[in-house]
Amino acid sequence: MGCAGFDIWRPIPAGSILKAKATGEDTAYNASIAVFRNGTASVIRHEQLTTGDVSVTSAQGDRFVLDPALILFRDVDQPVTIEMWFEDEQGNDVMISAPSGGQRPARCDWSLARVRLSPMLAEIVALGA
Amino acid sequence: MRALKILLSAVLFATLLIAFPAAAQKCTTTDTVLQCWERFNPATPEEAADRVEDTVAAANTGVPTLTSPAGSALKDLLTLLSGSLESSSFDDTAQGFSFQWNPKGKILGKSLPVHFEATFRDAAPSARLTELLATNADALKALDSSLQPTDDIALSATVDHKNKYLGRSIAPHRTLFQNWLDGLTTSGDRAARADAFAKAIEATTLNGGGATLTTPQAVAAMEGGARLFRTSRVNVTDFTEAFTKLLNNQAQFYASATYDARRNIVGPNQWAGTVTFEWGASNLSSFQRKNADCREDTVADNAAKCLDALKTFAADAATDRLSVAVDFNRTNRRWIDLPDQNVEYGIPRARTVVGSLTYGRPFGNPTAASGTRLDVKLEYEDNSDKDIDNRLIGSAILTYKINDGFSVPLGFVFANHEKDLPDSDRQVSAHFGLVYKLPDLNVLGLGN
Repeated sequence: MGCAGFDIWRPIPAGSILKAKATGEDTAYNASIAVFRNGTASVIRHEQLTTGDVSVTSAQGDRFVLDPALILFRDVDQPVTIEMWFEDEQGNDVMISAPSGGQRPARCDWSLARVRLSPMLAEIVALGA
Repeated sequence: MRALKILLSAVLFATLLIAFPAAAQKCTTTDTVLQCWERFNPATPEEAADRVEDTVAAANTGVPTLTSPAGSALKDLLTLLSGSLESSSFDDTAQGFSFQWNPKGKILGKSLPVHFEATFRDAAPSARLTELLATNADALKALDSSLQPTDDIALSATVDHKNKYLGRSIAPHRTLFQNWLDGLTTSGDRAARADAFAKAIEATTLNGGGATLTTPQAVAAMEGGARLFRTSRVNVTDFTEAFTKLLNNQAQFYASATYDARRNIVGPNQWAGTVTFEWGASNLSSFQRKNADCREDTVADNAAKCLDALKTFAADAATDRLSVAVDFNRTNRRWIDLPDQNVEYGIPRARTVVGSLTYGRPFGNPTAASGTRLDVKLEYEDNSDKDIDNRLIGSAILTYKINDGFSVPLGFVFANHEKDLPDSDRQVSAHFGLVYKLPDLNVLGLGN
């Protein structure tokens, strides 16, 4: 589902797996996610996102700040997309608290088709249980 | 007394002036998380509108070449091709079928930038033959039935070379771009400050963008995080805008050759070729030549300094482009002799060479929703083998783009032969037009 520029995901159970992917015309865009985990920075790069080679297992009490960046270098007919989510060991979406009560999946995606709207920058704070 | 009133009014006005933006960037306990975030990191009205996406092309594509002898150097001539250059495919259509092949091999460690295509057309007797047999439908039908799928084949080879110096693909520059972006987004104490923000959120009960802040502690936490993100956002936006501008000024080279092999009753065999080179003076390659510290192996350590250099370079960079193209076309001689149908005629050999020089200059931001651009083109056509004169056509077109779907071209076309100008008995004609692009029917829910 399309997401706004900021969100809070909590609680993320220990053992949940952060997954992410990017799709679109490869020569036209770059996707990446800056990951700040308990004060340590790392980057999930474009190649990992386009091959789906992303798997980060969360531990008890982890604090993640996730900054996806989607940059488009020319207009495209089909939007390029970046998506990230937490799933459990069985591959099901991790369910988190919704502000209005109840639950929602810890999953977001963002899309771009126009250069003039680039870059798409967002931030997710994901807090462990 | 009057002076005092003026002074008080001025003080009040100044106070409001200072206080209003400050209020816009302060959150309250009645704000939701997202409202607070967007006080510091607002979605522009354009972004909001664009969430209802339409897919009419955004760039000012200038003069429509199908209806005008004018031309443009500002179209990304390789863009349409790049999508089909990744793998082989087999495309079956009502008019025939085509086979496309991209060799996966390498020469000197480099991928082959060549694309081959063979199209087997639905062969049919030529228009000339159809006209000559207009009164003999049975003979025409028999000839048509005798045609095979191999009687009208088009073979083509395309060279579309992309490397760090040619082409507007991000792929050859991805390491540079990513290293630079990493340097801007994860350097310094960014990780520690991000974690401080996460801890501050952890201490609240906030659980999503729609949650209300309710407490001063939550307000303070969100304001801190939103401010931190704003700093990074400004840097990254400046960086990507400048980088994109220079990437889109990279030189492009494109060459293709086509051979049409036809049975004599379908038409003559033909050779056609085109070579195009397009160039923008200030581009990513020239930036790196002038900034040795900003190459892919060093840029992460100099990210902020390189960003300043990039912004300055891009701000001064010219966005005009020059394109040089040569097109060649040769039709082989052919003799058609059908004694049973009493038909005999010949097609003479013909050769055409067209050279063109095109200059394009956008005024303002070329990717903006509206703007103006100038296209100037000079084209010389050598028809030495034909019974028609060589010709020279020049054009200068100013296109005002009102929005993504609507633009107004206005210009002059010159030709050394009056017949090359539509509806004119002079060597110069003026053109005024309206161009409207239809939105994608699929987006409107009217497609298949």
